[in-house]
Amino acid sequence: MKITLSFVIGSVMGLLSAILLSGLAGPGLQRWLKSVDVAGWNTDPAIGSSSANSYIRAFVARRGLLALSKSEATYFTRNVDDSGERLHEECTYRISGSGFPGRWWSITLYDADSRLPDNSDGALSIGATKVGGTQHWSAIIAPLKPLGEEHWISSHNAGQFDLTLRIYRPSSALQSSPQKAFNPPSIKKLTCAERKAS
Amino acid sequence: MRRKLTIAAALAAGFVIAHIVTLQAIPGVIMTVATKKIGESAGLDANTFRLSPRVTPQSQTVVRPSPDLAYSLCLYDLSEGPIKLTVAPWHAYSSVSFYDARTNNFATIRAENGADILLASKNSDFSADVAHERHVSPTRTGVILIRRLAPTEADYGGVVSMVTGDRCAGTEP
Repeated sequence: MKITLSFVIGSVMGLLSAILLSGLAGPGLQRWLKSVDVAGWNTDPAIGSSSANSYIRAFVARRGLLALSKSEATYFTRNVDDSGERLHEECTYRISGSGFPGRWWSITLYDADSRLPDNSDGALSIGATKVGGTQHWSAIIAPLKPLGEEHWISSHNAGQFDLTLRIYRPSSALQSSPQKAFNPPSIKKLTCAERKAS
Repeated sequence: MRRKLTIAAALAAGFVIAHIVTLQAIPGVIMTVATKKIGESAGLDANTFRLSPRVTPQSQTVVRPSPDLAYSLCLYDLSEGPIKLTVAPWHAYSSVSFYDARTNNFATIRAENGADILLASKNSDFSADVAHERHVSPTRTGVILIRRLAPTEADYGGVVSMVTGDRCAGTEP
């Protein structure tokens, strides 16, 4: 009886630990993945590759289902500003950078559930098409459209959020050595709304 | 002492077995749920391409969709044999990606100039077909996803007008 009970308890622990590590509940393996960090922008070269182990496959299935292989697209994600604080809808940021080594790129804002924030602003992302052929670009991230700014990413209804940078058809240098080939955009916090007293 | 060791071994065995089985099952379960959701929301039958509505916060069906892309989906099923794909050309970035039932992206091809592809299961004999680029699916079912760069409403309208050239169908008439 005790042996059976031990097996059942062990099974429950095994099931729960797999669920937690895969990110089905909680942050999962995010902190322990062998990701490459370039100034706060994280990418995991194993995503989409056949070498990805069971943990990474389970994690990616939950957080990036139907992602492309690294030869087709490189994904960078960032959830903090230049001072290391979590990105949040209550603050306004300026994101700026220069071109990326690939055919096309875009930066999209997602909420804490990896979903597009529930708003109808039509400003979910910026990309090479919107910023044109200019090498240097910048945009405002804010819940309301800023006056006099050409490029805007809306954080309305996002709460705590992150940004995903996709570089399609990345150069071979970016695939093999993102630390050297990637010029990371900066995210400077400009202002924050006063938090309402609870 | 021996009894305690047996209990500890049972605990460890239960943990390891359940952990591995759960971990192996998660991608397949997530893929099954996602394809069911996609199929139902798009009214999509197997082996048919369907252009998804323009990506918005209200229309998203999977995590982290790109609002700059137009997605065409085919939920494939190779039970009746190989399928043939025809992908219409597009003037900007375009790719076709193949995902098996465990979410593995086993092939991606460039499709700006269009493409003709034969997809078959592991044991299929399709050596006689030389007219198509050929790929083998590790599993019987999965998802084929065409991505076309269409960041504006006008671009998406352009995709709508040309996707009639996309085909995902069995090889038998």
